[in-house]
Amino acid sequence: MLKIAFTLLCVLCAAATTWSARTVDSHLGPKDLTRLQKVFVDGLSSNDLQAIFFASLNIETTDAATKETLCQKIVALHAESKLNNFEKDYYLIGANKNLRCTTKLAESVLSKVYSSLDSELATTQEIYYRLATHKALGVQVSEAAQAKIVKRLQEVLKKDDTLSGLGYAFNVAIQLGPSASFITNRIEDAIVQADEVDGRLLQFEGGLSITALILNGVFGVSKTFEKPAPVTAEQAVKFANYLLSRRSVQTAKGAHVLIEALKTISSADKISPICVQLIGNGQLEAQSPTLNVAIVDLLGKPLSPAVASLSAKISVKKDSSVLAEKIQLVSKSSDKTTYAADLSSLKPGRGIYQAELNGDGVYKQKLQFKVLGRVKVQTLEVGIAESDASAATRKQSVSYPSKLKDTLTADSTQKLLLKALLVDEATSKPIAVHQAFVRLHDRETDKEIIFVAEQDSSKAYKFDMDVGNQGKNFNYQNGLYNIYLTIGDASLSNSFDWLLADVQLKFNQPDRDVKPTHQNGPLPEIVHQFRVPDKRPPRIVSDIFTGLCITPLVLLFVFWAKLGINVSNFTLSPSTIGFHLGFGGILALFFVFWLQLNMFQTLRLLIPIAVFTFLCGNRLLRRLYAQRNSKNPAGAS
Amino acid sequence: MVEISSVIAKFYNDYVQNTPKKLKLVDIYLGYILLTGIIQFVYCCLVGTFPFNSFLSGFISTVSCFVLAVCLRLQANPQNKAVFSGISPERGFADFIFAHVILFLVVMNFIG
Repeated sequence: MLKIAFTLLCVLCAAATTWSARTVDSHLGPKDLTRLQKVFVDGLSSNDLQAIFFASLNIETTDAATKETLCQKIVALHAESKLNNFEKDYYLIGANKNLRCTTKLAESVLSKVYSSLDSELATTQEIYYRLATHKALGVQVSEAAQAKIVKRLQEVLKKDDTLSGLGYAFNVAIQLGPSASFITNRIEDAIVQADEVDGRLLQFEGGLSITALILNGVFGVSKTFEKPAPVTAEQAVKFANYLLSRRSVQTAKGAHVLIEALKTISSADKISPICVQLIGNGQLEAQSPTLNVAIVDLLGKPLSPAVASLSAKISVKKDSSVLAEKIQLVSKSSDKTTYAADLSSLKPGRGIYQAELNGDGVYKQKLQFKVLGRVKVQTLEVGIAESDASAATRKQSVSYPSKLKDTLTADSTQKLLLKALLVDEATSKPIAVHQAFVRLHDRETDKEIIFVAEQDSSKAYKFDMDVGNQGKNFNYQNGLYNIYLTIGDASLSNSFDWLLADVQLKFNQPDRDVKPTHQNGPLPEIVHQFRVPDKRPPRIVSDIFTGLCITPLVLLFVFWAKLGINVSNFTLSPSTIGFHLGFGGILALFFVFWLQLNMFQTLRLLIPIAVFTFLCGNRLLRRLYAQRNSKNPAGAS
Repeated sequence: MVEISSVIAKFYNDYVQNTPKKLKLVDIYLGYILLTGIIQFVYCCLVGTFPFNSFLSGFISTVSCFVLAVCLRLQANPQNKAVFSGISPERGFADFIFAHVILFLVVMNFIG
């Protein structure tokens, strides 16, 4: 299963690549070139030796005074530059040459440059810059020196295998010519190291400058040594895509290498990608559908052998049904880059289409375009109905783009109704649009509220609004509202916002007035709320139970009396009276304590009474004991 | 059935004949307290415990009085003389009175 899926994926990928063979979506247009030009102008006025060099390489300075200042500036910048010696020497001498300065360069610099080739050069980068400096000075490098450099180059490459090392080596080889032909073996090494991004970009690690360096190098090498193209057409497309994606580069060096690399790819025979794109925004009017396509190279220039025949297969995007095969696009006589085809014979309806373009059987590109339609309001009815359907609805027709003369009136028991049938102007068939809104706008307060109109089964757009229910959305704001119908769609050329009627809406006001939420001054005091006591039972119930509690007391006395209580022992001695009075006093004190005293007062009173009672009780009981013992000596033991 | 009634009759007769009069008085007092406690409990079940502290102090005072009275009865019983050899009935009565003074103080404090 996985295998099948993988195979399918490969096939799809292959199909995708065949369908954009040797073409890219965009090119360096006039806007980009203007911006890059500005980068160079800025570079020329900057305080960066490198930027001045690359800018002078690309724009010519004619003004003598400016030139003179620049010539002096580069010498000063060279002196304080922190770049490598070989690099800043090259920039100085190169800029000096580009600007055609009249001042001679200092002998010390020149002699250093001349002698540099005799010394051991450490890197391919150094070799490249030294050679390029010699070339800029117009000095011939001797055969012996060249042989020595080739040898040195091989040595360095053995140690230094980085991408930039290889890139400079390629460029050195181009300058050295046949003696450095060994480098052609390294082309493949370099190309396989390119990283693919999203399956559509190819770049070398290190960004634009490395990518451009290597591309210029490998193309130059294969040209110098008459080898086949170093990359395939597919790779060339991806490299071109990468370079074009970096068109917003801001440095003079970046801008220079970008243009150079694009030129290099563009000039490669048989593999150079071209740009096939739609002219305009890809929206065609239904009345005059003309497909205009531009074919240019990566820098926006006409192709030198122009594409002889360009045919297109047009299909509907939605269901991929083919509308027409082999539509010929004819080159315009005035502009060699423009190809056009009139599609009016196909009568394309409103919708999105895809054109598969095929130029000379080599260049293939898929483009998407849109045919716009026009919408027409067939009928529109607006009216007021009772919410409870108690009375017949009065509906009035309005025709686009006029406005209903009468002002409608609706109160909270009524509904506002609207029904619109939208048709395609060409076919008179009902259509669905992306946006269909009913907008109610209060001109006085400049408030508006928007409702969505829904399409019903007969494809007519309907809207109904219950005035009573919707009051909240309107903030219960009575007044005169404008009714607008807003129709919009990406594939319509005449979307509109139509003021169709006025309506006087009357809402029932909300029940309670909205209190002002903010008031100044202290907040109301918060009073502590005690727990509300539980409900007490009715008076009679508690009274009955109080009585019930007393009855046993009565029973007690009754039974004691029955048993024959003996009070004969009660003598009227002071201790007896004292004890009973004291005990009674204590109980009375407790009763008063219950009613009004607190614990401390009670204890203070209790102590003397208790002491008195204790003494009396002690004496009483002692006497009773003595009595009992005298009566019954046996029981006393 | 007859046996049970005869047992009860025998038990009653025995009680009437052999129990000292003082103890009978205490027993009646115990019955009175028990009855009072039951009435309070019935009130609580029928009407509710609010106010709770009043109910609680009343009910606890009956229970405590019952316990104290039982203690008094035990100490005053001539049959228990061997156990409470050093405590005369008068001493027991004095303790009984003293405990009640303390108990009522607490109950009055709690009754609210």
